[in-house]
Amino acid sequence: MRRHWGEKVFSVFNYTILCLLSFSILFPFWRILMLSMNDGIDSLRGGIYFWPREATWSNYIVIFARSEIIDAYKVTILRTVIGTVLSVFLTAIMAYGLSKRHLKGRKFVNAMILFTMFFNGGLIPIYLLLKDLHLLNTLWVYIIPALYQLWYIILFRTFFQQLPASLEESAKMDGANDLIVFFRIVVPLSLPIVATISLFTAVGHWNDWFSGTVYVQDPKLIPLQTLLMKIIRENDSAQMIAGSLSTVSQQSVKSVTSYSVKMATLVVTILPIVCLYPFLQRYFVKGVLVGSIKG
Amino acid sequence: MSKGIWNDRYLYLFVIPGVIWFLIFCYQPMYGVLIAFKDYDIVAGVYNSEWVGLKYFSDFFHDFNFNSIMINTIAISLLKLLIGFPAPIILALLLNEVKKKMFKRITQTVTYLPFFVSWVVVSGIWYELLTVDQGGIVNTFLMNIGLLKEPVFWFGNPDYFWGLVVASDIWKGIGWGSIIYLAALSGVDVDLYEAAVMDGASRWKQTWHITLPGIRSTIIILFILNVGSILNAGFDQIYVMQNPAVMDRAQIIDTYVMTTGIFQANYSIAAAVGLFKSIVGLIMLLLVNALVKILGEEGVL
Amino acid sequence: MKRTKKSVTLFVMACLLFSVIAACSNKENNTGSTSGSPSASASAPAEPVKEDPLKFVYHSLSRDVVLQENNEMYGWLKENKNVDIKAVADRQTDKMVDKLNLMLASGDIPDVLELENVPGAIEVVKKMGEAGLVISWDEWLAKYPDLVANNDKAYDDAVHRAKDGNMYMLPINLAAKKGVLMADVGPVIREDWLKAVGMSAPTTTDELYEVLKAFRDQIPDVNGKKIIPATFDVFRQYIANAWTKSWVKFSEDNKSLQFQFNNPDIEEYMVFMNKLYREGLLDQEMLTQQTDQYMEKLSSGRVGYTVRIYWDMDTVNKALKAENPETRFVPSPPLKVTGSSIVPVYSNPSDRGFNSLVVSTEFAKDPRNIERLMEFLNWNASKEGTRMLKYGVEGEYYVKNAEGLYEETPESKEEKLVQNNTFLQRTGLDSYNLTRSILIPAEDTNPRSEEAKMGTEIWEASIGEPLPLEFQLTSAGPIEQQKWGVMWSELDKWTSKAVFAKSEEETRKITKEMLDAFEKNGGRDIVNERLKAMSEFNQ
Repeated sequence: MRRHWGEKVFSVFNYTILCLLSFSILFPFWRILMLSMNDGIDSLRGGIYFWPREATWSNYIVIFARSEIIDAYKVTILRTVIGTVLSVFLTAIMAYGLSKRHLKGRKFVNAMILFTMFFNGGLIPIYLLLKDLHLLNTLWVYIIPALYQLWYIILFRTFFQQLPASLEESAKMDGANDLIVFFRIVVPLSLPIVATISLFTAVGHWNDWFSGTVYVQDPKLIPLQTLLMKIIRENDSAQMIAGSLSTVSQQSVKSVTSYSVKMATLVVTILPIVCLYPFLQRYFVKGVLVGSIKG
Repeated sequence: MSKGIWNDRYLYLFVIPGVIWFLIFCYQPMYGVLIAFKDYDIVAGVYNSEWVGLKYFSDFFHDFNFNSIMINTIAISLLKLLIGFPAPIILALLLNEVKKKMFKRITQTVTYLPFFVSWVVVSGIWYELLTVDQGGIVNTFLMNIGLLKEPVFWFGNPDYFWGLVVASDIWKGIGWGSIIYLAALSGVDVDLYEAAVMDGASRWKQTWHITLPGIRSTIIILFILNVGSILNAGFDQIYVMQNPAVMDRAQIIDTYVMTTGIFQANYSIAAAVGLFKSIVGLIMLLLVNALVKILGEEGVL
Repeated sequence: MKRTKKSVTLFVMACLLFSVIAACSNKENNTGSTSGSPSASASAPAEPVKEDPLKFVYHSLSRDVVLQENNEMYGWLKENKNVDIKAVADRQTDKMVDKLNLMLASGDIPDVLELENVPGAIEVVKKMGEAGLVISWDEWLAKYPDLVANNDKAYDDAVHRAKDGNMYMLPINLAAKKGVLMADVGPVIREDWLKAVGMSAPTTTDELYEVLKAFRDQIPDVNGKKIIPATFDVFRQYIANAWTKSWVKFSEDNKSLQFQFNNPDIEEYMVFMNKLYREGLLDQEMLTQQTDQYMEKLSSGRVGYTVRIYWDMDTVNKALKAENPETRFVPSPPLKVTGSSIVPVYSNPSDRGFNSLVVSTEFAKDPRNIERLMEFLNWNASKEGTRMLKYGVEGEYYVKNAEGLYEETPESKEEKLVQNNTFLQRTGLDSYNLTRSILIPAEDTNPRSEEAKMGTEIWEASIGEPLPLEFQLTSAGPIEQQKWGVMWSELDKWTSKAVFAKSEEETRKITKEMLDAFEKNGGRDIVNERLKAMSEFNQ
């Protein structure tokens, strides 16, 4: 078709802006990667930008030589997979139910869940509840208290509300019940939102470090992020207070610093996600709309 | 009436587990909200602790820093809402216009990287880029192209603090935030575009009349939800980015709670202030929600 | 097809239900293990039947070295002392009190718990005791006085004894005791720069001014960047001590006190720092930069003078020496004001225990358990026990040198130099020193670096006297609890305005405003509250 010269200008402008943004992010991240591969003490002197000066794997060895690392990966992967599948499934079906305007009690449930966004009891009541439910110190303490998230329910609900009503009406007229309508018609159309919420949920599990510090005692049940934080803290001499001096002076000459280990943990955290995301991207294509229902 | 419920039986089956979950995990612990009104004694428990009414609220309102804390919190939140909220939408729209698939994919992947980095590291990155010390990249660049005569002390000037906070927040969140909008964009009907092109509409007109309306609901819902967090100016970020030189503009409600009160007094103070933030947020959300419904849109409630 | 969809849904629901049930019936992994079973022989023992080892969990919120499962010390203790200790290293930094509160709320206390005595922690333990969750140590201390041989009874009674009269924790780790406390922190200066300008380390503020000027004028750029004569981080407070003596200053009769933030002498400190700034001797980014940038400046070789703890100085020196072996920071004398009699105080000896040991009532239910535990701890606190736990079997990792001091064997030294070595994890040395006993006088060669050893001498003058007993032993009142943190952040705020003002008059003006502000916004209240508590204590 005729391309407006204005469109060409816009195109150039668009690519430029995106390039600038990408570069402003890529450069610091490249640096993080370089710092993770550079000797920690040497990095203190500054000047590492494009290439490591004293290349070493020691920052990564500190992480992967830990005996707990395998368990940590196991825990995180298990909770991410199970948690995401359960969460997305339950959230989606609840949101679908709430998206039907004719459902009695809908307004009440909507208000009830919105209310929880603002009022919560705090750490100690929640801890006591989890204790009474015998969830503490198990894998399920990571999954069950996180099954539903208000934002995701609302996002799903909004999406479902936007689907053309005619789709479902025609299916119902053919004698389908809600189950069939949901699983055979709505779900295939909802792939973008399912992919998105799955990504958000999975990343939420992957990144969570807090639960592992308070709800779990068994060192074999600590997720990856909590372990990484522990490793960073251990190497942080600034955290040593006067009383713990004896361990400091007896510790070996270390050439990793907490900063260099931090860089390595960042890379370890981000890498899997960077690898996974392209697989999900294909679900963000234009949704499949059955042409037959038009008109 | 019971016929209606029976007809919808599967829908109820879908909803009820969630309701039970919320009752157990959100409403059962909610008695903890009472901590805001009590001198919390852990052994006695929440119910048996001494009732002090609005004492901690009053302490908070009468603190000598209260005015600047509120101004800072509201200002930063508003700026983030006005500038930071549209940013991921714009990015999503720009990405949508990109024809080359490879470029689009790579850019998407790159832009969401900062989301995973903690604020400690992000503020370190920004500090180094903007340092007034020799070799600070931004300052050197601006001086080389003649915009500056001397390096600017970005992090030392209270007037720049809000700007830095908003800018770095956008930098960190724009990529990840655009994901939801990209997903929504893919739900816009392709046929509408074809029809518009046939009518000779430019890309700009297409965006204005098709794309934006298509993701309108998503934008509105997310806007309302963001308004609900109006008094959360971003504790993690501000805590690491603040420094004594900019403290006048950097103290927000949450950092106040951090420095105030050691021992167990902190639980009650934190609860009281948290409750205050929640109530304000709830009111704002309900107001905006009502406004949205008056304009004919679907709200959150 | 209809049926498969239905069954899929039902299957998933069943899974969810099943997992909930499974979780509910899941026996939770308790942190406390059950007591070791004493031998069952009821008949009169002609020969003592060897009891099963005493099993318990030692949960430390302070240690972070995660030991290997069957480390050598664990084996030795099981073999020789008949104890099976499961050591859990669970170091908490800022979440100490939260973790303790959770234990208090839930009632789950590990068998033997070690915590750090950060503000608030002791109070929580007292509450645990009053709630019956942890044992009282009094009868055991009467039986085994060695456990508190190095403690000061008055101090412990005032700080650690609960209102009901019981001592629910054992204060340990007396690293600040007079005679044990070594100077750790003080000013440091670049030795090579001093040589280059031909001056000696400054002892007074005027001398410091001259030295910094010499640095500014004579030291060439480093790596193309201008040098920074002086920069500081939070330890800039110690420079202020030249005028205010310490963070708290008492009058002769201890009837009045000033905190650093409402001590009028701080005006001269602000003026001095302002002068340094206006003449290009002080880093502009002193108050805004983060620790990482600060350490980078030091390690890149551009800074001449700062204040540091010795282990950070060591880290920086490693970086400096790697580039140029002739460059290093060395300790510099504590800074005094020219002509003043005030000697700055950087640390005060005290009978403070940095950690506490707590035993759960659950564990002590079996009287044999608690008896054996106390026997073990008593051995731990003895000199032989301490030596064994710290240095291992003599000759294996440590040998006595000519002066009778413990020194590392060459093999141990070598192993420790290897990157990411597992020396401590494998040997378990010092990790089972439950009472954190210290040998007085010290029995090992000072393992500190050369520069740090210089520091213990050069900075020794900055070790002051113990703070007045009334101050140490009274705890913070409600106002101080609420406003303490705010006072220091306010001080920083004012410092940034005063030090970076454009002229001396402006600095003085701002400081006077600051002192006024502190009178009104809580500073005066805190002082009054403290004085009241102190005078009540004396009665």
